[in-house]
Amino acid sequence: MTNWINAKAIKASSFIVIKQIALILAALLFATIFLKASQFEAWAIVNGIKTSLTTDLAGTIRWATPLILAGLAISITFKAQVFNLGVDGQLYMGAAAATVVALALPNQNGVLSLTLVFVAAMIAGAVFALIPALLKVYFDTNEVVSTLLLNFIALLYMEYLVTGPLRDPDASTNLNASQALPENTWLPRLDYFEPSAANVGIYIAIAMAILISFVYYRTKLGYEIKLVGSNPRMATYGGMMPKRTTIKVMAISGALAGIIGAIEVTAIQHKLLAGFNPGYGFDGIVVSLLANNNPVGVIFSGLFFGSLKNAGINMERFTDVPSAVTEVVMAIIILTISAEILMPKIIKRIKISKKNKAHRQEVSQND
Amino acid sequence: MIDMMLNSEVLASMIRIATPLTLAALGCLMCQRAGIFNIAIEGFMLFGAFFGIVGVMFTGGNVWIGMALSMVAGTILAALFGLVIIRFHANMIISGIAINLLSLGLTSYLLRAVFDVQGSIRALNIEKLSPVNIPFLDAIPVIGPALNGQSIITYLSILLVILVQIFLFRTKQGLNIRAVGESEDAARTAGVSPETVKWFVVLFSGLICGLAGAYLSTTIVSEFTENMVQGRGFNAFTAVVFGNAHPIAVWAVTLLFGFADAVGIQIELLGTGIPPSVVKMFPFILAIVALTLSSGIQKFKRDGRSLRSLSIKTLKIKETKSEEEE
Repeated sequence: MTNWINAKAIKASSFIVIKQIALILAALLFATIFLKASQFEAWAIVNGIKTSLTTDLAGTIRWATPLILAGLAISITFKAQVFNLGVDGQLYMGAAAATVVALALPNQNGVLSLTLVFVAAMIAGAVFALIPALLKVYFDTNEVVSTLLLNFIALLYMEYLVTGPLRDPDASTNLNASQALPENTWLPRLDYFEPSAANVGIYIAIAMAILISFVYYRTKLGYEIKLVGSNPRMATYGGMMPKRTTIKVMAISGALAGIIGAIEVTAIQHKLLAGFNPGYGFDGIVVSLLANNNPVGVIFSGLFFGSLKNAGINMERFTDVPSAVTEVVMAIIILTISAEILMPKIIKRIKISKKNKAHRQEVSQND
Repeated sequence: MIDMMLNSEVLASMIRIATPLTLAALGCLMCQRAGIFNIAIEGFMLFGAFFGIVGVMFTGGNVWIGMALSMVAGTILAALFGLVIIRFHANMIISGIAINLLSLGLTSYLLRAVFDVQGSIRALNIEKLSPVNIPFLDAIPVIGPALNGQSIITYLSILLVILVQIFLFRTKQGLNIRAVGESEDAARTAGVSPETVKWFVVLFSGLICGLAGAYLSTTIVSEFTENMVQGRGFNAFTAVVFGNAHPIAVWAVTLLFGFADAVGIQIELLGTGIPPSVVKMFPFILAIVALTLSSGIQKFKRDGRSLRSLSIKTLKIKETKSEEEE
């Protein structure tokens, strides 16, 4: 084995992958039994995922894009032991900023205006994430509660925007949405998957995942985040400032959430629509947990949950199976991961029994 | 303006709106006292709201059975939460989020599976609880008419506030709960089982939040809508933090949130031109300000103390140094 491959690390990570796959299978099995018990088609969800990964890959990519970004936004905060449950709110703010900028820009160069739109969305998301971060640092306000409450404020603010100042004056009375964005600010969709909503956003998401893993493993900030997350006292002792790290992490997380908002607006809706977000923030928690907070792992777990979400939507559309069953699957996955129910207990037991055996042998030899 | 906001009608709706918050906050408060960070109450409430309507629909309109069923359902969901956090030591925040997600998914799913409808279901045959009339209350100006004629659950919630206050601060079991919250190891040394105490408070919160949910779906309205709790659980949690997990203070805070909501409805009814979404933001902004104030005051108290001790220490060090130099 060459020096740069750490055999132990590979063994550990492959073990995690096997563990997570076992967990997914268990959750899907549970969902199947559940569907069977309530007299729907039992294999609906398994078939749905199969379709999502073969014929309807476009749908999977469409849903995986926001989920990967949300997973990244959550994972970076989890690493630093901060809880940002306000990804939804930051996403709304990003979407609103993207819309405002896109509508205000003069019709010019596409790439330049798109960049401006995305930068605006990232700033808006980061600034909105800074509110709970600063409150936490200066007033010790619990960020779990403040971010949850800020979600509702952002949602209502967006509702206010699309019913008031940004509302399209020509829209029909019952549709609350902004004017359509000018075409030069549309994020291109993937030609191969026409006419679906799969778009260039997936490249942005993957690039972000690689960027974040670079930050983790190759920069001072990444080291700070890991150390502050695992042992804030030692980090302080080592001359770091955990509070400053908290602020940085929240800003990055908010900026990532802002990108989701910008992608949803510029690539999918092409306008600001009231309540367009199907809870990506909480889905991001599942994505991040399944990937063990590893940014590259987030790409794969985001793709899996994208396919699951797509399967749910297809099920709702083509069969009578409610898509809510996918939420149940997600909840089961979070609960089992956070409780570490499946594997560690069993392994611990095996280890203990091995130890006991060895001990017994020793004792018998001594006799 | 003040007349418009402080009449007995607004106060009555304040008490009505605050009732589920008070009930949920009492459950959350007990958990907080035992050191459990319980944001799953949002999910418990949603579960209760759904099963309240289920009970009503299947018994031909009996609200009592609906409420009993919702309490059972809330307790079952709480048992799952307890299993994960007490037995398996999972992270409370993440498990709480998972429970909320599970509750949202399961209720939407069962709505389709059991009633074959999507979005919401109305209980047409419901026999609502008749408001309780207490004659002597009317004699008190403003507050009297507001307090009178509420649902029996409202009076029950006020009674529970007092009972929880007595239970926590005047009984041995209450002391045990607080001891577990302060220091688990110390409690264990004193012969209290932290696991038993935690199971008790978690199941209690499930029971009472189930009732709070049933109050939402069977008393305030007579229907169940997907995700109908809409952050009330989080607001109740904020009330617990702001009220420092003290039953009477927490009750006062829930009343404050109820008041903010009631004033919002009043403003909307009067048509002052303020957009309804901005008005609806008000309780949430109030909650954040409240949260920041309470945690900020605590922080400054603590910092003030440590600063003072720090300055004394540095003075002493300086003194000793100067002495040495001499």
